[in-house]
Amino acid sequence: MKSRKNDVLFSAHATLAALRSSIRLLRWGMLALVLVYLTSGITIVSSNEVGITLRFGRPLGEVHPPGLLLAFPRPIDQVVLVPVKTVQELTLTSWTTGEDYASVGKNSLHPIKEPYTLTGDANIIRARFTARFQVSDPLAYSFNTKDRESLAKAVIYQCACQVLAGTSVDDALTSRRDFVAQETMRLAQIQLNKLEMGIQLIALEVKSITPPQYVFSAFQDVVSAQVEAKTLVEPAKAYQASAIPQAKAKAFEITQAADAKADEILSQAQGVSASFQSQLKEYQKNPATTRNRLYLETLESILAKARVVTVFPAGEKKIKLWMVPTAKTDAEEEMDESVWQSSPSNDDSTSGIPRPDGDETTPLPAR
Amino acid sequence: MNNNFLIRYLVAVVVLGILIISVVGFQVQQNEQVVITRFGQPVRTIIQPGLYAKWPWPIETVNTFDTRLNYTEIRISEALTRDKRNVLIPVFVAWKIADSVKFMESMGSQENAENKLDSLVGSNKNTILGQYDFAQLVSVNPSDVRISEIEEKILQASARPAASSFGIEIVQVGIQRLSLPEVNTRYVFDRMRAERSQFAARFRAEGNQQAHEITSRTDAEQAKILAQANKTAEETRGKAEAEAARIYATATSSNPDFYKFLRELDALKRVVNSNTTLVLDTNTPPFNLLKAGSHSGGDNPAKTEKP
Repeated sequence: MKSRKNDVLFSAHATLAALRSSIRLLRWGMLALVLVYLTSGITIVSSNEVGITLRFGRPLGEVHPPGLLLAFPRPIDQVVLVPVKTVQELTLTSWTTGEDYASVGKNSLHPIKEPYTLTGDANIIRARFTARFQVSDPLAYSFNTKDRESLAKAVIYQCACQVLAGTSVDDALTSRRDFVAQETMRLAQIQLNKLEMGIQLIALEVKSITPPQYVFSAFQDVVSAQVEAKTLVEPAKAYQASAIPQAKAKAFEITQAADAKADEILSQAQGVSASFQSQLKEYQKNPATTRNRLYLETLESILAKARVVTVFPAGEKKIKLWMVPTAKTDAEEEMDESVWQSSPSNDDSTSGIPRPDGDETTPLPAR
Repeated sequence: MNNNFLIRYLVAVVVLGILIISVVGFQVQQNEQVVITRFGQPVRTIIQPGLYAKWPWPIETVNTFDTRLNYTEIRISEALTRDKRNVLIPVFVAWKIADSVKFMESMGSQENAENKLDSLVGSNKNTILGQYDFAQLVSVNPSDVRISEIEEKILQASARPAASSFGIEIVQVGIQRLSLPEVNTRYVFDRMRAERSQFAARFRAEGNQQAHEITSRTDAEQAKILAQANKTAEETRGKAEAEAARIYATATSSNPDFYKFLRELDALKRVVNSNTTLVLDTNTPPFNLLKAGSHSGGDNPAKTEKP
């Protein structure tokens, strides 16, 4: 019985010991938990962020730069990290949503399912934007706006709508596309500042800006018309570019030739006058002889070239010249003869061909 | 034993303190306003963030309001412009709670506030749009576009009632985009197509015209250049000839007879060639020698013919 009692006593002791040790363990565990809790406010601020400590909800002084931020645990302090250096992006695609919704042959746009806006000349236009921004004021950025992204997007849409409402569709699609982006960004920044959102826009891009697909082909046609017009004008310009210099070259040639001709005329005149002067000098020394000499020299040169027929004697009788073709065929010969015979009333000294004076032979040379 | 007791005592005090603070104290965050109600009756409003104390529940209750900027879209409805054109203009409102007591009493919840704002701003929007022409919404002349003026007017018309009866401050009213009822878009498309084909035709015609212009201008310019050159050439030649004439005149004026004689000889030389047949009487030198020879029986060419 006693041994049994001892047994019970022993087991009770053992249980108590186990309980004690587990309580000790629990105590250490509690201590560790308390330590973890106490250090839970310590935060690492990364290089692209700043930290704001809120003590009982109130921000403490300046923002904390990147590094280790010491703060009290939760209900006392609360740390908000703001990525001030990160460039964040907003994609504004709601003006192009519902493009798949369009069915063939529908030819209309639903104002809510397929949002769009109007340009200055009341054309329908759809666009997509991307905006990039950074946090400029961490406090304002963190605590001033409930739904930052929606509001920032709404502001950009608002400004884009305003800018496009003052721009014609042609300008918006082509020449002033960049202007639309810049102006939208400028106006949006003013609004964001007014709303104290702590956002600085860095860039705003017009990702796409198009007329609705129902009229797209008509817009395409205008583009191809422009190309066509260019293809008409280009050859004309090329012609102009080559024809004018050619004409100038020709003109230069003409004036050059004229100058040369003028030089020629002048030098000829000078040459002639010089030669005249020298001849005159000779002539004045001995007029008669020189005159004769020149006369005979000329005769020599021309008589050597020309066929010459002399007539004897000069001045004693009148001379008549007959022009008769030299007959080659019989018919012609007969004709010649008939002609000859039909005009026998000639002066005896006359004939078609000059002959020696007083000679009564037939005028034609023998065959 | 004594030491152990002290630790226990301390822990008990700390736990009790935390308990009391959690019942009596409350925090107001940076972006919040708090209205303390005592048995449902608002007794004070706290705007500054920090730690505050109150009577424990159920005596005093903390009502927290988020004072950050809210973004609400007003439901789209058709509106008429002054010139009776239907437009659908989505508008958003940026607003925040300004007077939390009033807000609590009149609105209660965010949802209710948005509904109230929707009808207030929506009806103001329709009223104010009725004061403007469609041409003041869209115009190719940006200075005619009155969108921001319209936004400002809607804001002004809505701000006072919102503040006085809802405790809400409307910070911004913004027109999101300009749209038309769906049936009208069909006509807009027709017009756009017509405009485009007109443009296309104009571009083609202009291209044609421009090409013609350039070509004919080039032709004209070419002709002008050549004519100018010819004129210059004629002038040059004329001048040269006049000068030559002057030279001839001065040279020959000393003895015109001799000049005439020389010139005639020259002309003869030029005129006579191998195709010319001259019929001369024997008085013409040098043939006069032939005649003289027959009389004198002197040396004549016949003599030389004899071997």
